[in-house]
Amino acid sequence: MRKYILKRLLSMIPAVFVVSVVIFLIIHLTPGDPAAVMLGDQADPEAIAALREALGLNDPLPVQYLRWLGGVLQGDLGQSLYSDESMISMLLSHLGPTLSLTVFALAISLIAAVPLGILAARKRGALADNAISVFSMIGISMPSFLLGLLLMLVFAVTLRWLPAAGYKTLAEDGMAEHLRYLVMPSIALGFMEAGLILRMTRSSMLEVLGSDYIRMAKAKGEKSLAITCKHAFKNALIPIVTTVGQTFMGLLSGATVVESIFNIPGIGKMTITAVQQRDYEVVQAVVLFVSMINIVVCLVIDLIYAAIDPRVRLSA
Amino acid sequence: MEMVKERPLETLQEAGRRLRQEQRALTRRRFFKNRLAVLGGAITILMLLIAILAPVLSPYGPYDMVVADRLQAPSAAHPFGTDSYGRDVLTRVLYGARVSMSIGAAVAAGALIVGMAVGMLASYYKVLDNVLMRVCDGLSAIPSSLLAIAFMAALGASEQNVIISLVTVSFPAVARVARGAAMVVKEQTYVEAMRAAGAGSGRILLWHIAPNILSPVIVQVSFVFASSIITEAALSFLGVGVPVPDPSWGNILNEGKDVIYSAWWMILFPGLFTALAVLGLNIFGDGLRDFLDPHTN
Repeated sequence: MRKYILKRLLSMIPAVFVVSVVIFLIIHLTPGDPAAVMLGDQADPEAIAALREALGLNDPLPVQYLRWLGGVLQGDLGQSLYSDESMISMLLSHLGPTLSLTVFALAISLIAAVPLGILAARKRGALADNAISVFSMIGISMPSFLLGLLLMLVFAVTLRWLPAAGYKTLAEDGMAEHLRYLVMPSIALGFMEAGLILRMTRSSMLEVLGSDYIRMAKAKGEKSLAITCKHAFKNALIPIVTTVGQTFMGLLSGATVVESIFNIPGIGKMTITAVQQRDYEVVQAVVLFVSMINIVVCLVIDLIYAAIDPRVRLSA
Repeated sequence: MEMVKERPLETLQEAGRRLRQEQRALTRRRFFKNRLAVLGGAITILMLLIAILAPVLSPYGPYDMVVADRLQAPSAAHPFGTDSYGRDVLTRVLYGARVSMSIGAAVAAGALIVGMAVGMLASYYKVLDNVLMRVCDGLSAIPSSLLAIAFMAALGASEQNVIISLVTVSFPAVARVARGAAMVVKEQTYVEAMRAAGAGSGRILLWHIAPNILSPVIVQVSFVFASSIITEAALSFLGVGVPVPDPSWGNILNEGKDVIYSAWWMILFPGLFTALAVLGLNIFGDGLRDFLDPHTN
């Protein structure tokens, strides 16, 4: 296992390198002078020159890259044009709402998808299976912002059951308020991922249910429900865990759009605001931050996978 | 021998042609038996037709403003209602199909070409393999919608830049599929025979490997098409995609969001079209995969 962990850690290095180069280059993709673009049309040349100097844009690209990377490694993710706050504290202060949203969305999609996936596998080919397949197909075809708007239209505008937008913190306003504001965004965000988890659960369960040891259990007269829960689900869980890891990432990145619809002050909202203000260092910092979370989550999932299933670490 | 006179012997070429035709007819029949793929294909073709025929189908011009008619509910004159500038929403949704579908198709084509090239080169040349695939790993480690947003922020909002951004975020998945398939194909005896006969690498890759890895790649590309429609709509919805006043489903929805309390039709209709287009492509891709995958047949 130790060898596998080491191998897996080493394999991350090139990916991290590519990620850092791509993110570094984002700011240099701007047509013309990034400093001029950031300050807008009316900026005076002196301010532009000063910003160029501050951003280090006068140096050759490799020098700029190394300086930027050096800063990042020391925890300096750059400076927002519009705020004196350090980038790390900006990111951390916006992380709470995003995590809350993501966790609720994940919970909702798991609660909806896993039981339905198992049901579909058990009733393979029957009406229930087909209905569930249609549901998951619609799920994966429904963009989160669209579902968000439709939910808002029905539950906030027409029925007036839920607030249309906004965010209440768990600490100040309590769980009930917190949830009331997060229900629609979480469903909007989690729906598509639920479709994916549902499909994965169904196909993984089908595979296990067709295996010899399940037939053996049936032959020994074990009840069908016990087989499903005790023998099949446990083994079907492995690919599901992997999907859930990918799901978490999908949710974290999908949160950008959902946050901006529902006006939730998370990382996504921060990104969109930065994009509108052409505050490129903030955009860079967010992309880097989320990508690193992604890479770590993938690593953790691979390790869990290897811990559950020895075949993974032995064949690697 | 009368029999021989009535039915002259086929030449080898004729027999080959007949066999190919029969094979094709069989494949066609098997494809149409796959009802899902047909349904998805039909929805996709319908959407493409709408996109192509938008100028003919639309009752008004996409930029025609009648301020007096602003935010009218659906009626006979305006089946999908009007927006805050008094433009006909049906017309804008139809023209939106044009923008959204053509961006989706362009991204699918771009991802197909770049992904195939990268995947095949990686499978064929060991040295390139490591470099190219690590670049792909890196690109896919960055959440795609976030990367697309960052690219759009830097490049500026325009249709062309949406296509560039989306090709960049979606080609790695295609490359991975192409590489996997090409790895298998290049070990086949006929490729070895080509090489022994003195065919150059370029010729082998282009004429003998590429056609044989197309099926899994096309399946992947159909999903790229679908997800590009979603991401384009999301970018335009966030105001960093297709710039207004050009209509795209995403930016109509964005305008609709501002008037959600008074004009439900500005959300519902562009939303239905978006979801239907994506659904069609997803069903088509699924059906195609089942059709091409020998395990399910």
